[in-house]
Order: sequence, then C-alpha cells, then structure tokens
Amino acid sequence: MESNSTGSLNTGGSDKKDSNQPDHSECLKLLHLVLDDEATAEQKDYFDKHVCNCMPYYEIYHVDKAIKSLVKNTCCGKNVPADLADAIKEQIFRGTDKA
Amino acid sequence: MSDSQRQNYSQKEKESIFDKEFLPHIGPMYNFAYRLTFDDDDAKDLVQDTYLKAYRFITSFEQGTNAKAWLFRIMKNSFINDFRKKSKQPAKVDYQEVETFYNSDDVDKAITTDLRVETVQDMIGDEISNALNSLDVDFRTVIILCDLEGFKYDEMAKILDIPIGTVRSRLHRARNLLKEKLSDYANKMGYKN
Repeated sequence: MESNSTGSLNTGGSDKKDSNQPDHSECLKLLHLVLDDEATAEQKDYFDKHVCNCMPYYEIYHVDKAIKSLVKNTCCGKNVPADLADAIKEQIFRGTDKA
Repeated sequence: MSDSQRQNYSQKEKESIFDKEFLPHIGPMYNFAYRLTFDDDDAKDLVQDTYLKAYRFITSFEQGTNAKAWLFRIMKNSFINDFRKKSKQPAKVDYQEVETFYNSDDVDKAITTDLRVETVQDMIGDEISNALNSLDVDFRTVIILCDLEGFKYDEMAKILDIPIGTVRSRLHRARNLLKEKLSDYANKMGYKN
C-alpha cells in the first residue's frame, strides 16, 4: 500500500529543530494522500495538525480541494450517443452468431 | 493470466457479464474516450473497440472483480496502441523529471500559489474543462482517473501499468500544471487574487 511509503512519519529526525514543528516537505507529500482519501489515520492526523497552524498549506489544501470538486462536477457530463450501446451489442453478438 | 486462471464461461454467462458488469460503465468510458480524443466519432470508435476487446478476452475477466478498472485499462491500451499513433501526438512527457520531482528543490516552489478558493469557485465549468483538456494526455489521464472517476492509487497503477509512486508524482505534477493554467486564466480575466 502506497500510504506506507510515508506511513512512518519522520517527525523526530535529526534535521528537525523541534519535534513539535511539522516538516513542510512531509506535509506536501501527505497533502495529496489526504485529498484523495488515501492517507492513514496517523498521516491525516499529522496533516490536520499542520494545516491548522500553517496558512500557506491551509490555502493550498482548500484550493486543491475546490479544483478537485470542480473537475468532478464539470467534466463528467459527456452524453453517451443513444445508439452506442446497441451498436456495440449488435456488432459483438452478430459476430458470436457467425462463430 | 495463465490458462488455469482463465474463466470458463458459457455463452449465456458471457452475455450476462457483458450486460451487467461491462455495459453499465459505458458513460464513464465514453467520457474518458472523449477526454482522450476530443472528437465524438473517435470517442465512439474507441469505446466500441474497447468493448469488442473486452468481450473477446472475457475469459480473462473474473466475475465480481473491478470491471470498470479492467475496461479502463483496455481503453488506455487501445488509445496508446491505435489512436495515439494515428493522431500524431506531440512528444511524451519527460518522466525522469517528473519522477525525481519529490527530491528536487521544486517541491518548495509548489507550496506557493496565487490562486484563492474564491477565485476557483467563481470559475465556470468551461475554464476547468479547457484547462484540463490543455494538459498533456498523460497528465490529463491521471486527473480523469482520480478526480472524475474516483479510482484509488492502486487501481490507477494497474490501469496505467506504472508503480504507485509514479501515479502519485504524476498526479502531483498534473495538479500543479492545472493550477498554473487556471492561475494564468484568472490573471488574464482580472480575477482578484
């Protein structure tokens, strides 16, 4: 499972000044996991705590979320030609009859 | 799939699987085909071709498994093998650049955006649709699979035949490109950021 690649959060590494300060690059990796509902509970918790205290990430997360929602709502509505399903079935099962 | 894994369906079972498990996905399939080809006739041909292949190889499909993902995988391969060759698409994306994205300094650049939630919400569907359509097909595809169709990363990896890490980095890059397009549009139209 992909979430495992960041599942063990690196919150206490030697490069951190303070273990209570979230790592920005870690949060960036988590942002899309959270957005796509792929994050573990631990990852989501870590991300939520960070977003609450970080204005740039708060903005980015909500912009990304708004775009994702708009993409879903505006790019789905291509109507299927009415005769397409019948044409496909006709072609397939006519072929089957011949076989 | 080895011969031992192939299903042994009767004619009646094949028709039932086709009607109950394959055909209900014709809407998303057509939408995906249209977003790949941008042409009604080509989209119809691509959907038709995909369903013909699905039926031809129906013994490789295990009843009750994810038919939608299976069909999308066939369509993606059909598009790459047949349609993309015909349409003389521009050169492919440099994936090396994409795959190393997370390890580069560009990661830091990605935390800045001049787009605001209100600006995005003010946009009408055409802007989003045009921005999505203007992306390279490989970037467009990951956004369609994830955001429109709701596939999980592991399903996308199987559909696209790429590792999950690549799915994630490609999706990340695709979203940043989409945001850049929307941001350009917002600036051009005088939206207040």
